Amino acid sequence: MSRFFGVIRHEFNMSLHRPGLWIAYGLLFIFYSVTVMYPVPEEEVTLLTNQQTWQYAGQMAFTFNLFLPVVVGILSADRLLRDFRQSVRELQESTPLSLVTYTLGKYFGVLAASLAPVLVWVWLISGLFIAFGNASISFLYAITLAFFAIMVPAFAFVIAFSLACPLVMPLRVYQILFTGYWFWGNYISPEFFPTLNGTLLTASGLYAYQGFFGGFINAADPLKYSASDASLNLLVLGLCIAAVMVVLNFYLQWQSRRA
Amino acid sequence: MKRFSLKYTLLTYRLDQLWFPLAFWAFFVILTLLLGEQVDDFDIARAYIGVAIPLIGGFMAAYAILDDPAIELRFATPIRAAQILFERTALILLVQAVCALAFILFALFIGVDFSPLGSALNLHLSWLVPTVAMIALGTFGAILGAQTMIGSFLVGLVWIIEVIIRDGMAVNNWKYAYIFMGILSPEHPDLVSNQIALFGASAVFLFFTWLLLHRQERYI
Repeated sequence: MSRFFGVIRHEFNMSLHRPGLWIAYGLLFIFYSVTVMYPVPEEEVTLLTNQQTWQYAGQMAFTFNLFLPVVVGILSADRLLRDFRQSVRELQESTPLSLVTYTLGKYFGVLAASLAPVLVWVWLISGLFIAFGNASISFLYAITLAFFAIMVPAFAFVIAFSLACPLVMPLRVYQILFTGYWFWGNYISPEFFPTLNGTLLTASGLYAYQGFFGGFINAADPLKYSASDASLNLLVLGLCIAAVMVVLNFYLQWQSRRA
Repeated sequence: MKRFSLKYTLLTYRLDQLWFPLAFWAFFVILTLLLGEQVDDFDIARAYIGVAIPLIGGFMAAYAILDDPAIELRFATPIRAAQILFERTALILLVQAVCALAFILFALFIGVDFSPLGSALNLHLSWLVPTVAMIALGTFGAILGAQTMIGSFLVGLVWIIEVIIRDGMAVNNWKYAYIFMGILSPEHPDLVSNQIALFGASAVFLFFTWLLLHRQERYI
């Protein structure tokens, strides 16, 4: 277990020390902070009701999920590949570190490093939102739940694929396919074009947003997804992540035998 | 010296820069043929030439200069920065241009009507402007951050933001940075200004890339 946490800690520190991560997050945090806070000075400040607090927390997390997973998917695509490119993998194989520990440690390390700055920023912006008198203190609780129900599954899903896929295809090819996938698979209407959007494989968080948080405030259209649909969606995403990690493990085993 | 450099470029050319755009081209051809009755052919054609091609060009450009195993040796030779920049980006633009033109020919062959995009010049500017802009952005990002990853996420981020909030991009001053205006809003009254602004921005990006390329120690 100490080895597992050691790999997580090492990967977490390495990922957090990348300037690319902070530049990407910095740009998006500024963009989102402006869009969240901008309407406040001009509009009459109205305190959200209990139901609206819940809905607005979901809406914020869902909106953050539009672009943040794209950055995370692109940036985490080289985390496993770099161990092969820099021949670190050979050194690691000579240590008593098991393959499962290595793979899971790497995965959770990248996931934690991707999520930690976002969680801090989400708390910060929610604190400002509360300080400006737009919501009660319970908003902090609601946004934290929204973060775990909407953002964490999306990040976990894209990171699993971003670690595994570049091992079998060129990095830039994966990044192009991934960026295209995020738009095609989550935001194109199924009525307009065949897409994964609307199926249980949707990773944008729409299911959890509607099922657990009640969708947009004063939305005209009825909700499409219930809480059970949302739970099923999370289960399917979890199974996909597990499947990717199992396949990745088998692939790495095969690579070690071949070496 | 120039002939040697060209030979080097071809020898070290990453084949995925060729097979992937071709595979994507073939995929969209098959998609057009399969979904002809479900989805308007024009929508698929403009999605490919005006949206997919800039994305591919941008990502390829982010890796064009720095993703070279012999970059230190290359910098040790007396090749000018402008030449490196031109060789690497022009090749990417050439491949994307061939794909775009081949797809337009295919689309015309199956009867796609491109008249909503305006004249022939507007049709070609609708893919050329965003492709050049994304190539310039990808190259600039990678060189500025001295990492291919930074060029990659800049391209990915700009692409996904502009695709998702495309209606918002067509208004206010954002309209000058809206790279998909020519293909998604061809009737926009500020299209010409948008295209001039994007060409200008691309030129600025490439100029700064050229300046930064002189500081070779940053990339070794």
